[in-house]
Amino acid sequence: MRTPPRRAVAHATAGPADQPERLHPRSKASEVAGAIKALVLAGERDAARDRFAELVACQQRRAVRIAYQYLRDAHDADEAVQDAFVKVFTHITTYREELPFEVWFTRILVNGCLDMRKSRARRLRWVLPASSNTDAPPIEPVAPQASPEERLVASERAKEIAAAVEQLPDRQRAVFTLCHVAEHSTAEVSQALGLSEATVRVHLFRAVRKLRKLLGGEREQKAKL
Amino acid sequence: MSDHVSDDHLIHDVAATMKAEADACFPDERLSRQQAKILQRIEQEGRPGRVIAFPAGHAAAPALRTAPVARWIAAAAAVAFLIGLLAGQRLPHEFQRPNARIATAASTATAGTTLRASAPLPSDDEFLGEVEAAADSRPAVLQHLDALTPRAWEVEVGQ
Repeated sequence: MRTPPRRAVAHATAGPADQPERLHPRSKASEVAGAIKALVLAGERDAARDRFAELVACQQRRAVRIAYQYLRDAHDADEAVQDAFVKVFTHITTYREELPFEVWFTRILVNGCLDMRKSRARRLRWVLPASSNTDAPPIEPVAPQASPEERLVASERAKEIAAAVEQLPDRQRAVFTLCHVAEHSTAEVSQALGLSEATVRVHLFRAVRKLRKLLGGEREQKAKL
Repeated sequence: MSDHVSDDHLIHDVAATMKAEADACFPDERLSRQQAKILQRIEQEGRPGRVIAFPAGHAAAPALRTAPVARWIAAAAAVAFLIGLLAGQRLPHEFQRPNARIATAASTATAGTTLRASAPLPSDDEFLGEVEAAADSRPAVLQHLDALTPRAWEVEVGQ
């Protein structure tokens, strides 16, 4: 039933550190989560806590990427990820081992991010919005060894891409983030977001089409110049 | 076919940029700190709530415990007080209180005034002089207080 994600090229070109954990038949995270659940049920809470550090380490990077794309603020993302992990540990006994841990965790994290966005929106009604996000350092997706020209071009391109992603509707951006940044399959995203798989695919298709329009159009204009 | 390839390139570019953006905000040191915080919070979650002892000052007062000697002293004081009261009632009238003598003198003066009632009525000055004379017979302690009190005629003159 698992739908192969449309990210073959992205994975082929990504470095070994970016390789996602394969969820079939059972991911390492799911195994560790099952073991933690068994330890908690057996009353060995200290041992469960020690094992939980392992789970945090293998899911943390993915979690902060998701949270940051939802919240666009490093402090909020940090808090949301912490809250999500604490919730996972607190409710580990309700984890259903037949499901991938990543889906369960992503769902908790996404719900936490949405709650935080709501509370932030309420808070911002009473304060002036900050002019810019000073927390984020300049994006440098290229290797630091690149020449200054290459770095400048890459930086400009990164800004264009970030602006294009900002223009995506929330749902499309969420689906795109979970599929291509968190590297979940469409089936997993549908479970995590509570949408049908067809709906996820439609959102993903629309997101890519819009990005192509926004970024491809600029590229064509530059080519004409 | 070329559209698919360009889409894949586009997706790769966008995903890489988004990852780089998040990773730039979360370097490894920050992730380590975050992990430490998570584990710390989990440790605190497991602990039972800390019970703070109720302040000692508000504790229930201890039962009054007195030594037998203290009880004997209290009983003796009470008996002495009663004896004093009874003895005071049996003593002669003159020894009761010094104020009693004042009251007697005042009643004598009043009686004198009454005797002269048949005579023509004294003027106000005379009457007040008599009152003052009666007041002079008060104990020395009260005379200071009396000196501070304004006279009726002085008040009238002042007006």
